[in-house]
Amino acid sequence: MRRLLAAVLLTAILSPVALAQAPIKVGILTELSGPLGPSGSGQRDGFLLYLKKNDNRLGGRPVQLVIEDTAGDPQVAITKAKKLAESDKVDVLVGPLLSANGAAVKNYLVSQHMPTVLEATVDEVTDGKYIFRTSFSGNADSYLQGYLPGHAGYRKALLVAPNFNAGQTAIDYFEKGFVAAGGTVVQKLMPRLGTPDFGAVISQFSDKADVGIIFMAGGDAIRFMKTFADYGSKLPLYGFTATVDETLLPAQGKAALGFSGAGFYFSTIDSPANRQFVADYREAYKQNPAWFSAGGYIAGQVLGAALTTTNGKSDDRDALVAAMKAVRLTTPAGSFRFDANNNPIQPRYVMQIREVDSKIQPVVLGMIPEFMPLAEPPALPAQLVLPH
Amino acid sequence: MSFWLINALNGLSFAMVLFVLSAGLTLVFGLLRIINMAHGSFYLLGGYIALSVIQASDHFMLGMASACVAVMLLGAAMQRWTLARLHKQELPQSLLTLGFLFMFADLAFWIWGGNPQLVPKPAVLEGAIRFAGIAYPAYRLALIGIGVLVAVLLWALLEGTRIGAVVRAGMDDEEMVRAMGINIPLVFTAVFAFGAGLAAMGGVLGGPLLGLFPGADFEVAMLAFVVVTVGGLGSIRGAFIASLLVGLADNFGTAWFPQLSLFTAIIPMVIVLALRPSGLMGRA
Repeated sequence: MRRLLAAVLLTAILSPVALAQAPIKVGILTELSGPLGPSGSGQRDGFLLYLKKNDNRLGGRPVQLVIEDTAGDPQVAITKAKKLAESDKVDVLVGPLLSANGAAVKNYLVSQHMPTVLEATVDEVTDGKYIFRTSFSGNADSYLQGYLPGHAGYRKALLVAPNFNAGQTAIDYFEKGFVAAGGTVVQKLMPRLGTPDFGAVISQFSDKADVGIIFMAGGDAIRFMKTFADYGSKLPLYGFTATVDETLLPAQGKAALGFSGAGFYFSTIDSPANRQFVADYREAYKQNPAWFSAGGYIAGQVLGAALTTTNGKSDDRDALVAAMKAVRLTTPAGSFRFDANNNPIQPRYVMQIREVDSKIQPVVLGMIPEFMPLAEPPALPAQLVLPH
Repeated sequence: MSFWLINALNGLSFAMVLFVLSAGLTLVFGLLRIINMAHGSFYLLGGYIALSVIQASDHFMLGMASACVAVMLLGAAMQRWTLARLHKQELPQSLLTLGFLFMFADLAFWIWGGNPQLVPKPAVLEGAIRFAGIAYPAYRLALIGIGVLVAVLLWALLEGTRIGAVVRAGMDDEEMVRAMGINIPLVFTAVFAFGAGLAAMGGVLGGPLLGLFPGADFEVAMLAFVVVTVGGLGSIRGAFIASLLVGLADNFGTAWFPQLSLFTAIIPMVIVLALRPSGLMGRA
């Protein structure tokens, strides 16, 4: 209902190659409405931007798109996945962002041998064969967000994450990481998803804590940061950068200043590939890309590179996923390849939200060049100075 | 001590937002017998309109005024041209308002996009005030004052004026009021518009706390329905008491049992429904 769900046909440009090759059918199945609608739409837009920059082709073949909305509902996600695979007969799929939806469609897609690139971050979603991820692993990145403030010298942390499965994972791995870096956790708070008023949560903050490690998303993230600023607390905040992602910053404003954390993508990453990507994205959509948009663009790069390897052939699914697994890319987020579980190995950028030229933005302080998606102490570069 | 003070103030300020949100809903139900599913849409549209006006003009009060007026007009049009045709048909009316809820949600998404936003606070109410050994957000203190003021004005309007008397009489016996020569359809339209305006005001006052995003209409309507159920359908006094109950229960519940916060706001409703199914002040 929120978005037209009709199939979108990108007409193939008539050329000798196009005449020679039938279009490849690509399904996009993600969250286009509901609480994660803005994020899923960004993922789709990132993917569409890749197509636009490549003559609507993947590996030389013209692309025929079928776009479906999960509406953030696993039941809908599985129904739409079946429709895409069995009735539309798509060759490859760009899959959901919401972890619950990724988990819901995983087994079905594997049974269909459907080459899938998705962004859901819960670890179990990738299968090491057909399901690939272009975002990050929830466990490993939660661990990293816990490890960083401990490494920076904070000793007593309070942890805040929403009360659902991904929030519980975040709390568990924040703690593991923080403890591994020598700290102790003094308080864990898990407000409900969609908490209308964070006043009660923030007034519970323990005086003993010297740092807060936070995971919030969407509307909750805005209310949380704003309320935190209203109460005039001076507690330094670390955590998942989704809490202050670039679609939320305009609403959070100065309340987001000082928040630190690590993520795989920010629009402020200084590289030629990213400058080009940001310029193209801004031209097409009039806003900065956030991590989920970059993930959608990278999904395009993965499929494009793999189909180039197979000379555009997608019938042999095993050959196609083998080619996907072998891709080596330079993306807007840096160097990119997959590990044995189809998790991306790509850099992590440590950032702090700061005001530069009267613009509130993530300022990249340093980079972990090759972040292995594992929940263990990361190899931090010696010159990295963390906010303290 | 400061624990009690801060949580009491949190609970009170949230309660006042709840009251402004639910007063219109209960008033409309009391007189028109419409369960207005689109009540949350008025919150959302009011908040968004205020947001756009404040961004353009930098005046909070102007934003509030234009949001209330615009949404009142919208409410009046909606009642006059659609709901009035289904007078006394409760189920079709509810379904119609549900349809409006979806339409307004799409409209808001189309105009203001899907990224979550907050209504900016008036500049004078930014930051925290220090007193009694605590720092407390100025805006929340102001909310408590405004909420009480709105409650007193509503009470005075309903109990102390001729219009209020007509509305109260209409709640008790619509036919008799009609027989007295009062233009009850006009009163219906006016009350529906007024209720919509109150919800829009809730969007502007609550917007800096609760935020504006696709789905906020559902979340807010949910809270308003809880308050109205606890207070008793149709009773402003009940809505006020229920807002205090729900606001304080939710706050102290979240503070004491954070793991149970999913239903601390709902507990008062469960208890009240079990003991007094018509609500605290309901007349059944």
